[in-house]
Formats: sequence, structure tokens, C-alpha cells
Amino acid sequence: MVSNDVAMRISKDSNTFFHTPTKLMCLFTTAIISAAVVTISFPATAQTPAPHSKTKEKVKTTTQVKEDPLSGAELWTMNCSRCHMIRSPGEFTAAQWQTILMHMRVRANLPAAQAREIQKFLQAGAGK
Amino acid sequence: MSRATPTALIAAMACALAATVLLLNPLATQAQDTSNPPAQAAPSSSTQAQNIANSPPPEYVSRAEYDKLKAEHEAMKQELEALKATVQQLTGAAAAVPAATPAPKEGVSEGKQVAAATTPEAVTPSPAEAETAPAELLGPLATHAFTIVGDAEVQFGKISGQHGAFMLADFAPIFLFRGGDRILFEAGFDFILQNNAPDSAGSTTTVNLSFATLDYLINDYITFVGGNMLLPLGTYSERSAGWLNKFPDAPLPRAVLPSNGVGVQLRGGIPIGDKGPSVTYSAFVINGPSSVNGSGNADQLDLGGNVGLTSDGRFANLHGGAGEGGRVAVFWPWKSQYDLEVGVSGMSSSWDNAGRRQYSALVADWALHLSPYVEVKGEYMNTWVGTDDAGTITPRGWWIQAGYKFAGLKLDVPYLDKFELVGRYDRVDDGLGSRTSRGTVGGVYYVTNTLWLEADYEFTMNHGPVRLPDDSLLFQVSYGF
Repeated sequence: MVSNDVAMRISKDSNTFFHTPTKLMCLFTTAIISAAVVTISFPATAQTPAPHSKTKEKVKTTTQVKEDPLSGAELWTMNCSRCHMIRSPGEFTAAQWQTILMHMRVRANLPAAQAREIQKFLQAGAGK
Repeated sequence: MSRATPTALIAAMACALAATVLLLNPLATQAQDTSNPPAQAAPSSSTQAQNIANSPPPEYVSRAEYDKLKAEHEAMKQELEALKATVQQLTGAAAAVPAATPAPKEGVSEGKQVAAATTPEAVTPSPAEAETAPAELLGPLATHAFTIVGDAEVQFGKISGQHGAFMLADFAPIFLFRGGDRILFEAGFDFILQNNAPDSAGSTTTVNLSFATLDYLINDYITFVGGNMLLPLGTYSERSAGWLNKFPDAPLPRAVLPSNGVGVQLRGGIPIGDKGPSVTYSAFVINGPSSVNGSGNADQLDLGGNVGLTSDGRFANLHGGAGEGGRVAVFWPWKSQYDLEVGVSGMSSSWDNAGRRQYSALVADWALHLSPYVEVKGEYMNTWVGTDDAGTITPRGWWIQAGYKFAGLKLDVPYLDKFELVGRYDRVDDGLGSRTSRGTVGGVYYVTNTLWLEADYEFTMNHGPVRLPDDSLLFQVSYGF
């Protein structure tokens, strides 16, 4: 059984700990870093089954696939998610996408060629 | 000369025909391959060459080729699955996607298939549509179009020493008018509702013009921008809309920088290769900061007031000089949603009416994404302000922000997968003896990709005469439209 004094001291210490901004920030930082390390160390564990054979050859062939220029869809994911949650193609009409892409090309300094590819992709799935 | 029998003649003709067909067939195959678009072409040119060289009959593939193609197919499938999962989180539609996601199709380039799988509620473009739709759609599109986008926020705040209150934090539409392929006019507003008490009853609606610019796309690398611009000093001012910022308020040190300026700007992006990296630049000339009463005293610096038209109708810059500045940055993705952006920006301008005192700023900014779930970004800023009464003061500060989306843990727990833990530390020194630092921890719950619930607790540490409230608890609903 814990004596009252000890219990009070534990309670006091706990309160001090959780109300100290610096320690709270340290706790937060540790949590973020831990989660990031877990995520980066085990990428897509649930989605990606272990390769069953010929790992070397797979790596090689994947590299070959990536030699093509990035598609509009890939550029859409790569660029748009830098600053905001990505918007689905069907959220706007083709004409609206043309205007919005012009806005985003200026605001985000998107290279023109990339903006055109993203626009093509979004217009292909645009709402009516 | 001997006469050949008909049978021998026919046999000779058949041999000649067969030889011709065999000679022409590889050429025809090569021509057909080169006419195919890259997305549909079989593996690679080296593989094709190998196919031709290993010729048992060309319609057969060897075991090695079959295994190679199979391995390539498996690798692509795995990449698709990983990408689908990441974009599901980003669109905030994780729950709906598995049922709605169409099965991957054979022979489709991976990027297009990823996109199709991640936009379940959209009219999903098939590969063929993606190839052909632009040509079909661009023709009938109007050359001029008007669009409204923007954001709105509703907030509840409990600040230490004050009563808690609900408020319409902001309604911020952006009007976009496209006048052809090169011209865009854009204007952003902030509608804010404020109580008139204690001076009078009722409330007042304040409308602020956040920015209003005329953009002209000169070519692929240069865009002209003129008007009331968000200044590219760091990235925050251009990326701070309510549904972009994961906190209800701005980092404290942004107060030492002007957010807007009236003037002109050239800007653009230059790609480095075709894998996504780019160099971006912005260069501007504006009226620059000014003085409230015209003097060069430190407490009279006005970072946002010098818009070219005075309250008595005079058309004038308040001082003789102009402010110049710009930003250069590198964006370097090494794979989808793993990227680093680093930028340096600055400006310089005279600010007192006599034009003798100088305001200068230098800003470094960075943003790092490690997977769709981890984001770290921040800015460091230092300014130098020449004054009449305090010499040269150096208001400065920095902030760093981190976020982690719980979807990265792959727990598949409903609701938890849509939650992001966020934190920020910011610190500002006003150069006049007051230093404030603040820590913020909180979370964002993504109801959809554009509707967020935010909750944050802020604790502030004050040193010096300028004091902010010690603690704040803020809740916000943000919507981007």
C-alpha cells in the first residue's frame, strides 16, 4: 500500500510533468519520431506481400518501369499533396480544372509541362 | 539453258516468298513496336532486341522471358497496392475505397491505374480516356471561365483569462477568372464577423482583400503577376489557407514579415529532368513597408499599409524607394510523396517617409515528406530594421511543425486511420526586448479530404513587456471548397 505522502508526491510529480511545456513537447517529438521511424522502416507492410522469388530481377524490372516520364496521375499525387489533401478529378468540371490548374501553376510555381500533364489527367476524370 | 519443271519452279517461288516474309517480318515487328505509345509498349527496347535475337519462332517466349515479365508484373502490382493505400488516406475515403476500387487491368501504365483506384466517387478515367480526353475536351471548352474556390472556418476558443466563445473565424472565397490560355485574374477575400462591444451593440462584418492579382503566362518558364500579392517570403503566406494549415493560427514569427505587397512579380518553375524535381523562383518589386506617422521610430514600422493610395486620396508611395525581393527554391522528390523542398528568400526596402531607414529580411524555409504520413516543415527568419530611436533592431524567429497520420501504422482501426497528430514550436523575438515562445500540440481528424476537425492546446512562455495569453484551447472546423 502506498502511503499518502508517496501518493501525493507521485501525483504532484505527474502533474508537474504533464504541465511542463518543454517536457510535453519532448514527449510529442519522441512520439512523432518513433512513429516516423516505424513507418519508414516498415513501409506498406500490410499492402505489400513479401516477394516470392527473384528479388534481384524484380528490382531491375521496377527500375525499367520508372524510366518513363512521370504520368499526370503521378505528378498529381507528387505535387498536390505537398501542400494540401489531393482533390479528386470528379470534384470539378473540365473547364474548372483548367482554371484551377492555371491558378496552381502560378501559386505553386509548377513547371508548365507538369501542370499540363496534371490538367490532362484531371480533365479526363472531370465531373460534368 | 535447261528448262525447269513446273514443280521445281513453284518450289523455287515458294522458297523465295518464304525468305522474303522472314526478312520482312522482324522489320514489321519493329515498326509496329515503335508506333505503340510507351505506356502500352512491351517491356523495353532491350527486351525487344532480346526477343528478336532468341528466335525460335517469334510468337513464343522463352521461360526466362516469361519469368522476367511475371516478376515485372508482380512488382508493378505491389507498387500499385502501396500507392493505392497512400492515396486512400489522402483522399480521406479509406473506408469506401476497397469496395469501389476496380480490379487492376492488364497492360495499363501504373500511374493511371493508381489514379483510377483512388478516386472512387469520381468519374474515373480509363487509360484510353486519359489518352484521348484532353483532345476531345479542350475543343469545346470556353476560352473564358469563372470559378470560385476557397475555404471557411468555424472556431471555438478558450483562452486563459477569457470566456470561451464560438466564432466564425473566416470565410475566404477566392475568385478565379480565366481569360484565355494565358490570362488569369484571381482575388481572395476574408470575411470576418466581429462584436462591436463595448463601443456599441451588434456586430460588424469586415472584408479584407487578401490578394488580387492579374497573372499572365508569358511562356513555360516566366509568369508575370501584378497587383496585391502574397509575398513569397518563405512559404507560409502563400500556403496558409484554413484547410492547408493544420493549426487554427499562424506561427508567431510571421509577424516580423510583410505578408502582402502591391507591385509586380516574375515567377516560374523550371523542371530538372522528367522525374519531378524542379527549381522555382520569384522576383518582385513592391512599394515596401512604411511608417505609420512618417518617422523612423521603431514602434511606427508598418509592414502592410503602403498600398499606393493614401486615406486622403493621394496617389503616392509613402517613401521614395521601392522594395525588392524574391525567393529561390529546389523541390526534390525521390519517389512519390517522399520529397524535400528547400528555399531561400529575402527582401529589402526603405520604410520611413524620409527614405533613410532600411528594412531587410532573410528567410529560409524547408518542407520534408517521408511517406504520405510524415511531414516536417519550418521556417527561420531574420530581419534588420534601421530606426531613428533604437538603432538597428533585429526582429527574428523560427518555427517548426511536424505531423504524423495514424494511417501509417496500418492498424485499420476505423476513425483512428483518419487522425493526424500534429505539433508546432514557434519562437519570436521582437528586437525590442520581448521574446515569446509557444508550443502547440493537437490533432486533425479528416472527415473528408476537405473537411477537417482540429483541436489544439497552446502553451505560451513570455519574456519581456509584450505578453500573450498563457494557454489556449482551440477547436476548429475547416472546409476547403
